[in-house]
Amino acid sequence: MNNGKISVQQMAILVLLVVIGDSILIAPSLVAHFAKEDAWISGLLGVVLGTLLAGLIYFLSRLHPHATLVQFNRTLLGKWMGGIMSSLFLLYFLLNAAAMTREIGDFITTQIMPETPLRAIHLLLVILLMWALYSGIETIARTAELLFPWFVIFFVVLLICLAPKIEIDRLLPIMGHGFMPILQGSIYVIVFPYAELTVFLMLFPLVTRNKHTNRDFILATALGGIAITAVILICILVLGPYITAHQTYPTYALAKKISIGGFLERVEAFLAIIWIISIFFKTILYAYAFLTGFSQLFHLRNERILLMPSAFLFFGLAYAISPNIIYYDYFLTNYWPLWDFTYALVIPLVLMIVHLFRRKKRAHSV
Amino acid sequence: MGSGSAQHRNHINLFREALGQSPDLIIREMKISNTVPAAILYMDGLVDVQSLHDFVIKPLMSVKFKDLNVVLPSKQNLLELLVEEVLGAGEMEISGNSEELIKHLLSGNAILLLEEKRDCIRIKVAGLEERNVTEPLTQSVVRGPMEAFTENSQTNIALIRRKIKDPNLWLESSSIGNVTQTKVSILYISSIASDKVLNEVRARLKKINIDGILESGYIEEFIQDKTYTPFPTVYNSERPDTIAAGLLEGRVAIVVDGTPFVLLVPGLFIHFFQSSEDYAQRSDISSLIRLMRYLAFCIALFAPSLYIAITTFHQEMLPTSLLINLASQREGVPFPAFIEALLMEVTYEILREAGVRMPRTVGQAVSIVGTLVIGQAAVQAGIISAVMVIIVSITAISSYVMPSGSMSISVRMLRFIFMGLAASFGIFGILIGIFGLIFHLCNLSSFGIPYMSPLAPFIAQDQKDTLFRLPWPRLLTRPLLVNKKNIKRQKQVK
Amino acid sequence: MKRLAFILLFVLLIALFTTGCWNRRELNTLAIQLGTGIDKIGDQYKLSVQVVDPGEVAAAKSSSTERSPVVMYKATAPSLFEAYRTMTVNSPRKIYGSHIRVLIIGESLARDGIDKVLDLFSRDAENRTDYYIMIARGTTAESVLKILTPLEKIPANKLFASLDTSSKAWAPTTAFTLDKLISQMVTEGQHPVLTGVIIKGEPKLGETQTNIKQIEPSATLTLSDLAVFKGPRLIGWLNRDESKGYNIIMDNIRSTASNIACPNGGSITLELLRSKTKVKGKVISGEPTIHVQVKTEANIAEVNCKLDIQDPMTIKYLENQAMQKTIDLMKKSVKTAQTRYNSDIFGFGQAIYRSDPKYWSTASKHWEDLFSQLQVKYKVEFFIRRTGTTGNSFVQDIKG
Repeated sequence: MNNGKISVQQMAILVLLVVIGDSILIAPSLVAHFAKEDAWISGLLGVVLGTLLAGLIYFLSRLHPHATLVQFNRTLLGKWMGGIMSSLFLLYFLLNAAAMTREIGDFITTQIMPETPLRAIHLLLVILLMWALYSGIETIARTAELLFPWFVIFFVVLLICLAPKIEIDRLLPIMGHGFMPILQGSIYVIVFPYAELTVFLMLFPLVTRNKHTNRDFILATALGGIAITAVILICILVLGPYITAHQTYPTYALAKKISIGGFLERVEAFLAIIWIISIFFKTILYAYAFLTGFSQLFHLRNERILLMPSAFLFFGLAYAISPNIIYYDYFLTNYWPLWDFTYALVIPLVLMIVHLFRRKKRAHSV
Repeated sequence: MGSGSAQHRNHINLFREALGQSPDLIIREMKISNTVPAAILYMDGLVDVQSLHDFVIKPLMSVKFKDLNVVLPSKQNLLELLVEEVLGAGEMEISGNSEELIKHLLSGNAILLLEEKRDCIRIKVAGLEERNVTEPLTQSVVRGPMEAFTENSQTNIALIRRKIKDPNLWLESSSIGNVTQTKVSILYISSIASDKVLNEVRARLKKINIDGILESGYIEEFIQDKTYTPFPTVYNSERPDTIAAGLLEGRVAIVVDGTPFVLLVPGLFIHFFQSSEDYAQRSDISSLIRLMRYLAFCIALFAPSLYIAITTFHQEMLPTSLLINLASQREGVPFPAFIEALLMEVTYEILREAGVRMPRTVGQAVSIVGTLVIGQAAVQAGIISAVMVIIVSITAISSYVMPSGSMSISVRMLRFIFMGLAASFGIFGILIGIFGLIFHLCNLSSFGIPYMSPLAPFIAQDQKDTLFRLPWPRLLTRPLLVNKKNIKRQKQVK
Repeated sequence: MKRLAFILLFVLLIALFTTGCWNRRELNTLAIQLGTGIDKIGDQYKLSVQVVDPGEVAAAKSSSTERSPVVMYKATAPSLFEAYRTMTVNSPRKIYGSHIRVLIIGESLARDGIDKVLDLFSRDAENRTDYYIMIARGTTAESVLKILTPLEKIPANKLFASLDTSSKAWAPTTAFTLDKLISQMVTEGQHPVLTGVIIKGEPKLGETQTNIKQIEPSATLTLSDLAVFKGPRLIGWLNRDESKGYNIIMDNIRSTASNIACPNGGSITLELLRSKTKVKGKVISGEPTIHVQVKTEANIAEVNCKLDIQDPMTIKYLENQAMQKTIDLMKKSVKTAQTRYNSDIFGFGQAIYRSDPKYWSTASKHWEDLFSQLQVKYKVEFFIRRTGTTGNSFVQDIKG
């Protein structure tokens, strides 16, 4: 499962899915909490700033186009420092994968099956996760490619079916609370979609590049952000800022509002497929990054032996990561952005500086 | 039986012993030109007696050489003389290898033995009683050719050759099966077929080492990429036009003697949704029908599980009046919906199997009992709700919409897994099941070609004949993934 | 690695057969709740639930059985959730709440405040927000839910359907769903209204099966005019004209009838086809004003007087009359809200906030005072498009 190759088109789809990821479910609430009616402006601002961040991550990977994060950590920082840095990233990947699993579990148990134990949902998810990782990255990419049209169809259906419920007045007043809340809100559009693109540092070397790679990457990140902004906008337009901010999963509440002609209604359980697709692919990629990163760090010849142990790890962590949903949401709102920025902004910048420093030194010595 | 030398007797006995004194080995002894003792050996029933008589025995009996010693300096050449001047049949050969000869004897050849000769002449006069070319029993169409393959591989190859009159339609034959010696032929158009697939087919066929091949299904299981999958990765058809169309796409056909089902590789997911009629009918209607087949595939796969999931987990998804209606039907039904569905599906499968196997004469009785018992009585007795009967029927009917039987078999199996998932996790379970299924589908490949192509990996060019079919003037190229060479199908007409 | 696949499959199988009964509810173990009523008794809530008996309502069965199509369960407890669970002692099945059609709140509870009872309905995952909320005017929710209704076998369904139909075809009613109500209650500068329901006739007779066997039932459920809230508390009722005016301002009109007097006696009735209202707030030199713009299209539906409606001038005249009438309706409604109830049910404050958030941040504290003095300017454009299938009424030409 190591030597797979993914096409640029598949990479773009994966990027899009990671950008949309869990944000489609939780971002509207977080953003509307701060920016109220202007949440959509936060969204747009987030897309612009976030795309820059994505560009930074992409740029970092281009410095060593044929090496994954773990591999170029070693060349840049040496065996021990690089190892420590890589371990940090592995921890990040592991925790993110577990948190994402937990997020799906929380969503299902809150909205769809309240009496089902979280662990049963997690078990099913982790089994599926292992099934996917066992099939290899090529299969994962192909599956994403196959599911993507459905994702788009359902997404568009969601937006179109809500069109009759839109009340433009809900957007007013524009910038009624000044600029700070908008900026504050936009953090969540930068962090969860874009900062978490860090996972692609493990994937870029697998991409069979063509002349459109750079363009497609940026296009995918921007499109993903626009999709999130569209969801935020429609949440505000249909639910209003108050309900958007106070619902745990406003997008699901949105889907509940669909009612067309008295027969096309009560379809939210089907539309849940949208965010389960995007969150699950994000989870898979994080789990994949953890597995390959681990095997590259310790030079394992066969990474499949890691499958079973990591399955237990994901399963246990997803449950242990938070005692209840309040803790999880609190953590997600207040601390997770910093945690994400550390790995998406601070460390990459450090790595880049080291890279420049080394190059200069090498230039001097020659 | 008294004529001829002891050596000649021994020679004849050699064959007799080899076949265990079987009485269906017929030995006709004679003297050619009244001087040379000879014997004709053949298997009763495997040869056409009429042509044996007309083209072998009669010429041999009537030939009168004036002086053999004058004509032939050595008797060795008598065999050649017979072949060149006397025998009237088409395929014959002089051979001394008795093992080979016995094989030929068993596949419908007559063998001519001459006294004092090690070598014999084998004369092909095969005349097995066989079925005529009839209408296909599976994959029937309203518009399109109405002929089907038969059990005879030669007839089958001829049927294909009649459609593709191209010198590049090449054939490679070998016999597989240590005991059955079944003739297996690879058929392909050398200017189109991909060498990679072809080499793969050759290599995989070569690996088979089994005592007998009685049907192409044996071969199919040997050569498919993954042993454990519910999905067929080798296409089979008894329609010459379907096989010919496949050859034109650059795929490779495998004709197995003894079965009307010819294999076609690679067999991708989409191929099992294409019918030869799609190409005979107008493109708009065939596109719609093709979409309907995918819909039917989903219904056949998901209808019972969705019913279970919605009625036991997600009642909020039903409109209120429908919910009340369903609830009133379920009043008094003693089983949970899952057990109810399982019961009905299993009953249906049993009825189906019985319907296929039972003699025609009792068929009617069984189907009456089946419909009455499961359809009416069970509902009236309140054991099964009426909706469940509807669900099971629509599922059963939908699973026969697929033009290829192999795909509906996999659907029938997977249905039960999805029912289990739905019964324990509702829609979420079904969703997880779908994900797992798609991962599996994307992981499959047929002769190195991803099973879900051209959907995943997505090939824009090949979409013209995947979910829908564009009109013929637009189908300019052959499918891209299957063959890489000679991609042009037609010259673009301006 | 084949083994791994088998292990996974095995675990999955175990998961399938050992788990999976947590959320399962068979259809015949559910008591489908269609109507909910809440009253207040002392400190406790009295919950009345109208549950359908599916066997009695199903389409296929003949309706000759003597059993009532619905059953009512009641429970009294300090909290609603507790009341729901207490109900299991007399209901054989679990009360299932996803299909509630109407939520009826007793008037006395509404006067105390409806906020506390709504939390459960917005929190529970089982509940949806697509049912209508009504106030039992002058009676208890319980007695409303007890009335059996003809035509629609399920009383709750009847209320839902008649509110649904009349909110589309009759101006004074308006349909409120839970989410709309909540968002109106939490929005600054806006107070909610709700439709009322009244029992006409003999409530006691309405509870028996005979009620639906008569050609004219002894008791029927009728929608009444709108209840005005201030915050979560009901403070009074609008009359029919005021309700109409409210709905015009709130742009709730889809179609309705409007009556205009003719100059020489008799009247003409117009059928409103489309109506669009825009409410804009403006603050000019510290003075908030509201501009209400209405654009209406109508057809002539009924002519009961001698008027030459084929004369364009007559149409002009009628349009003016109708315009004046619309303005009157709105004015009346606004006046009642301003003076009698001092409750900003139109969301004028919200309109001000939308146009001038800075002004609002200071004005919101004393909005009540500002509202009672608020200047409202009306602009109505009324268009009569067609006259139906005939021209002048035959009434004109009747001999003698």
